Amino acid sequence: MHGDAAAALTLLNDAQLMERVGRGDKAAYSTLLSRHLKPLHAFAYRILGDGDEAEDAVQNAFVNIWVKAQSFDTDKAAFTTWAYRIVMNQCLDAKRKKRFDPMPEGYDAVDEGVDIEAEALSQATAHRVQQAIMALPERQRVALTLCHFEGHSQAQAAEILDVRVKALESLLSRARAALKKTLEPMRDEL
Amino acid sequence: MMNDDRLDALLNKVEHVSPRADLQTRIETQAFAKAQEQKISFGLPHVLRDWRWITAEALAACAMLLIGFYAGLSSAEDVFDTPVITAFDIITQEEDWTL
Repeated sequence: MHGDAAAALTLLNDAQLMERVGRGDKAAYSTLLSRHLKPLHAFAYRILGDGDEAEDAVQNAFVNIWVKAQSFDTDKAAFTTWAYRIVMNQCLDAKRKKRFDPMPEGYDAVDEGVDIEAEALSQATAHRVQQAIMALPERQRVALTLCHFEGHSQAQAAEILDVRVKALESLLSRARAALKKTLEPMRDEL
Repeated sequence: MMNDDRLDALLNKVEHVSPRADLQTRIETQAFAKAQEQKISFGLPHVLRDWRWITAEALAACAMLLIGFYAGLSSAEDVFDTPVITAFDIITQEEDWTL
């Protein structure tokens, strides 16, 4: 019986689940949590660059979602927009508290003398790309993460960032230009 | 200069990470405990949270108060057979300011 109820909840959309969460339905909250935990954690990780910090940010965000569920209005925004915005704010707050260094320790401009063949398809390449992303200004990084990694449309990403689509396009364009410049020495690594 | 396809290919090499398996349980435990700690009462009808409804309710309440006030004064006039000047009378009274 309990399993049937849980299965029935998975058929509900986010707005329907949030309506139940607003009435204190713990099972609906758990369903919503399991549906969005991984993508929101991945989003937080790409902003913060640290798995533990990403978990903390997502944990705080989801606790806020439960506590503030009654203030959520499905007419005003989609749940995903609201949730991504909460996680984004948690991440940016965490970074401000940490006084993040835009060039993390161990990161230098890409060494052109490195053995490209040996490093191709390696974890080190992925790490360098991640570090280059981390060196982007916050809003550019968030825009790139939302559109490239999380698969949001530009309109959705603009709504999450609370900017116009044109402004988002500008952020994306600057982010990509900066990455192309930083990663230029790795151009032939693929 | 690197082209867009190259950049996308490099971006796609970024590692995918998953949260620890117990994260959901940790979140649920903290969220439910916090709600209990803050004594949050769930289930407030959405209509009461909507500022438009609250404004409409406040206006209706003010209108009813005014009507009740005016009706009360009118009754007093009838009972005591004495004219009672109301704000409405003052507004509608024609004054001869030339005197």
